[in-house]
Amino acid sequence: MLSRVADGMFWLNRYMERTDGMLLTLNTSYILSFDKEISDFQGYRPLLEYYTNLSQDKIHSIQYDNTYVLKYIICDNQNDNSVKNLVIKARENARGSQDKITKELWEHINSMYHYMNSPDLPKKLETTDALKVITKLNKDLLLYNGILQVTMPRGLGWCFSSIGKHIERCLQTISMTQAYFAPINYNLEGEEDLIYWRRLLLSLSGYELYLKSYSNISHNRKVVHQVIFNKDFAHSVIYTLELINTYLDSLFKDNDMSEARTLKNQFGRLKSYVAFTDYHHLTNQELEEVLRNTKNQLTQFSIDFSKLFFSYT
Amino acid sequence: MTKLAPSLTHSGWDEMFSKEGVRDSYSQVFKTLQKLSHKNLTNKQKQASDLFMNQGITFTVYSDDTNGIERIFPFDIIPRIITQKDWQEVESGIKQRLLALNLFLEDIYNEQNIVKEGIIPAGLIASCPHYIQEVQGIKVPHNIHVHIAGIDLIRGAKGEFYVLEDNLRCPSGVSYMLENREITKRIFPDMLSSNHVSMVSNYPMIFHSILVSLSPRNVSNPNVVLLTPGVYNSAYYEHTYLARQMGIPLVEGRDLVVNNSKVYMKTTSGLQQVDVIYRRLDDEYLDPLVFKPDSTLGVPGLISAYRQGNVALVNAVGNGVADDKAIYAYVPDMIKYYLNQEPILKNVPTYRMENLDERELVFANMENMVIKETNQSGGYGMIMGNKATQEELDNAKIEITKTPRNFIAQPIIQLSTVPCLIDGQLKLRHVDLRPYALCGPKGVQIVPGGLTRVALTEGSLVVNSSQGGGSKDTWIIK
Repeated sequence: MLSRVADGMFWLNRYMERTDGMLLTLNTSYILSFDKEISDFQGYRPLLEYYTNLSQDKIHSIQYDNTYVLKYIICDNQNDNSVKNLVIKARENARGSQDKITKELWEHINSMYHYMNSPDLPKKLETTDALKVITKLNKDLLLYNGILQVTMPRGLGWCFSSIGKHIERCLQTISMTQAYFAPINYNLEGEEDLIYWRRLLLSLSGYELYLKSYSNISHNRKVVHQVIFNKDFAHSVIYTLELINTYLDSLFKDNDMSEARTLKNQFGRLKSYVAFTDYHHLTNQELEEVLRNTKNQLTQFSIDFSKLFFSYT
Repeated sequence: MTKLAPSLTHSGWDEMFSKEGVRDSYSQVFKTLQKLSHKNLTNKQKQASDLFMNQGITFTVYSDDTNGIERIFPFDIIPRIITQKDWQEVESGIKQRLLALNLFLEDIYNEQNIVKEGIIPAGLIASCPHYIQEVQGIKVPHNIHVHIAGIDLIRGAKGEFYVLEDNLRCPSGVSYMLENREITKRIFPDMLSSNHVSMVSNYPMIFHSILVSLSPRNVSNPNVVLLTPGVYNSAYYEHTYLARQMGIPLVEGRDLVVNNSKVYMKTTSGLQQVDVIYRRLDDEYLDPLVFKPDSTLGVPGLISAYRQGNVALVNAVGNGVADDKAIYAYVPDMIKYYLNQEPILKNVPTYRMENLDERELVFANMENMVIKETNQSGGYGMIMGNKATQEELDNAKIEITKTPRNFIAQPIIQLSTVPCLIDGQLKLRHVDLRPYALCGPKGVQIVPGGLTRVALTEGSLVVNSSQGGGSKDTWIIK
């Protein structure tokens, strides 16, 4: 497969996964903003801190402003990570690799692009139609993932797409987890209630699984288990790392390059670092370190992966 | 029910209507259309536009908004129909023409007998900007220089076909021929089958087998690629479409590298040798070491690999010398010289401005002439004498006198018309026809169809998409 096309498929799926995660977080915060519960001291802060480059002062001033945040996150041209800009970037990557993605996938991305560019979209976000817009976009992302699964052939392109998708997902899970543990100093023995953790779990599509899997008291440590160590949770750190490992195995199957072995070892160490972290005896400080180190190492892996496979210029 | 028949207000040929009424070839289509209401027809037109938009068959218009506006190439849902009898004439005429043009290119880049025997002036070849000295003496696989050609045809007042242009470099538009048919299948499924319309969808398969046959390496599965200038090229959709339909990689110049006079593509598992390149890049951008040194679209060293026969290029380099507008006038002479035959398809009478007598004749009849720059295409560099202001005509005369080699003139021919659905009503608009011919070791093959281009502005004779033209599905009925 052409390196440039592999690069395009990798980033197409990173951008779409980022859009998906961001919309899920936005949807969660928007819906919960109507509850006005007392413990909501963050508002849209976790979303804005991870997905935007806004200053702390700016975030502080808008973290409860529904209309501003909706427009900024969904369709602001100045926001590099707005849904609109991410879809544009995803479409550009799809265009560059159009001969390797299916017609169905291309047409879906293309229809999302046209929707995001419809001139009346910003106005809708100022009205009660805002929720309809978010719901439609969430469904579009679900549909994207479905079309990806059902129509795309399982070759090299699939491997690059999947690795891109799961790197992005893993980074989102870690960052969102940090956003909810940092304000409580990573206190694993704290007594934050389910209302507090519900935001994080809904943002990661893991609320229902959490309710079904864990008992109803002392949530902090159990949330850590769910988002980092639960192998049945599709957004957990360990699940995403294992999937990346599977696709790396496919990529490296017929590749004897020493650089490939080095990269495989690098990823193996990262996966082992998480897999062999002792969850039961994890301290507050260790939790902070695990999240930080995993994020840094995964970011470095993504850079090295790109250098090895996509250095076509 | 719709009152359909528009009144014939011009003296030219209309494809659907004669003075006696609806032509036989259109009778079924006309009946079907009559049963549809205005609203129904308009809905079908909208449905077609939406299908084009959703499939990304668009081009981008850039304005102050940096993201640009996506537009579709206008498609008119009323098909253009050509009878089998007319098609046979077109088919045999194009085959004859391409045979001669291929022989001409082989000759001009080798012995140049046609020049030595005084059939074509040497100065005309030497002054042609598309004559590529760098490939003089080259031997191409099977002596085929033109593998794909888009021959522009028009119909005169009596319905007779004329060749307007031979596009022998990177003819575009074939994806619209194919997509137009797919759209028609969705909006008029019954009409297609009841009219026994010939199939065009085998075009990519025929073309792919020709590409494979050109491989310089004797391997069972040669690497064939389509070289595109990139995503910002206005024909990028077509490049992706053809690559997908043929199952070949779509590469950009930066994906390729030349080493030891062989071309390789950069893949995730290392370099892979490339055997055949269907390039959609003009000659001057192909290799910065030979042509434009600042071209970032091409591949350094590509011409060296090509000259050594390590890679085949489709179309061959230097074909522009055969579709130059001044040399076009000599194609009937080429047919006589190489094939000893009379041309089946006529040329539009063409006046070369280098010839003083012809120039004076044109200057005296400017309002009846279309003036064309020989090195322009796409409807650019063209002055319609009957539409231009006196100042424009005077300026044209000055320019022609300064550099006569750069201009030709042709009498304005009223292109034939076909009814189009415009604002919910059928209105007559001028059209041309571009069939696509494929040349391989087994000969010339032409899928029965083509791209009908429409001048959507009332009275306009300019059909180019870059000048606001649209297109129609073209049916060859059995």
